[in-house]
Amino acid sequence: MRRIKAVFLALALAVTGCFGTALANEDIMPLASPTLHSHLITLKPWTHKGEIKLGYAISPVDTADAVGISSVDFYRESGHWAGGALGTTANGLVGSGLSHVGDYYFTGTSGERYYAVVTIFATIDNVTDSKTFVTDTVTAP
Amino acid sequence: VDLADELEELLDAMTEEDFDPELVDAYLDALEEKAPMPRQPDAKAAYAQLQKRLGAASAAVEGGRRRRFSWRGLGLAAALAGLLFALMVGVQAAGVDLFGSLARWTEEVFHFVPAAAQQQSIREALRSCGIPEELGPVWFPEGLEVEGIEVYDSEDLKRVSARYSDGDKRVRVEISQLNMPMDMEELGYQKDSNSVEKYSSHDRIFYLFSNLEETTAAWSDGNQLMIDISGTIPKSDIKKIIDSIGE
Repeated sequence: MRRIKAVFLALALAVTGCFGTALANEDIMPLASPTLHSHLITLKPWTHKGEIKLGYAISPVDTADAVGISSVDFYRESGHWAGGALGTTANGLVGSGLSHVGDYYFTGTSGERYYAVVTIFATIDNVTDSKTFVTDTVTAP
Repeated sequence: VDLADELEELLDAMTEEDFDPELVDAYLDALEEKAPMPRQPDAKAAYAQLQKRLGAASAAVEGGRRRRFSWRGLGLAAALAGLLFALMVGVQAAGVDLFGSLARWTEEVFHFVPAAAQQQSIREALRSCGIPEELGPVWFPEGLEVEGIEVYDSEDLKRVSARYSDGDKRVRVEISQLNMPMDMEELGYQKDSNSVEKYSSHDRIFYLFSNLEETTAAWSDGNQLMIDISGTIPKSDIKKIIDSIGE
């Protein structure tokens, strides 16, 4: 009887392990998106001293309840954090509809080089998906 | 002479300009004095009187149609006009622009709609923001209706996004024009691991790929212009939409 229990336990552990592996694989597969369709994210020097402009155009797969940038962080080329923002409708980083297009400005130090880490998202019918992108590095004017 | 008849003649004779409410009140007071209304009106008697009056009116009409100003008719017309206006306001609120205004509202929220959002067709929208209008497709699967067209016109990007749906299937068309060709490198589409297919139409090569349940077809002139068509319709229909894009 004890042997039967042990075999059963071993089988249960093996099956659980297989499922666990399958789930883990699904979690780490960043392919495709149920809510995001396309993105255009650019970082450019702007006209004012030290200012750089983050341009963005984010499209959901369908009319979104919310779409845009959930967070943006600006880093010096060295990797040190220089500033950032969480997306809200008030700061223009979040909108709704078929696409969300806009610009966000960051003032750094003139002559310093910066890049941005941008997390975009879209929420459709209570389903949210997000992706994170890193921009090119640009020099603040 | 019956006071009621006199009152009727008086009302017929008066116009909007010389309407005298005091005189009408005086007649009503005299009528009330002569034949006061019962505290509890007799419904049966009132109905019999109404039938009698209707019979007389019908006979008068058959005997010779006389064009007469009728306060009752005016009231009916006003009521109908009010009803029509209320319906029009409701239709306007629902999104159909009857009054040429930019307003939409629900029971809880009133808001203005950007003029661009009122475009009637994708080609009109493209024209309005300076993107070549021939890039707009003109064929969509039967039953799919335009549900929304949005126009974005920023310094770096002009974009028209349109959604078509029949309540079940949907198609999304997005046509963009970049100010800086170099920005094209920064544009990315979500896709799954399925293979990419090429489809050529009017000397344009579209790349078809899937993103979960959606199929996307994307084209670029390699410079500034991009078209992407995506949706839950069959790939064959997406190809027909591509074929309907102008040369």
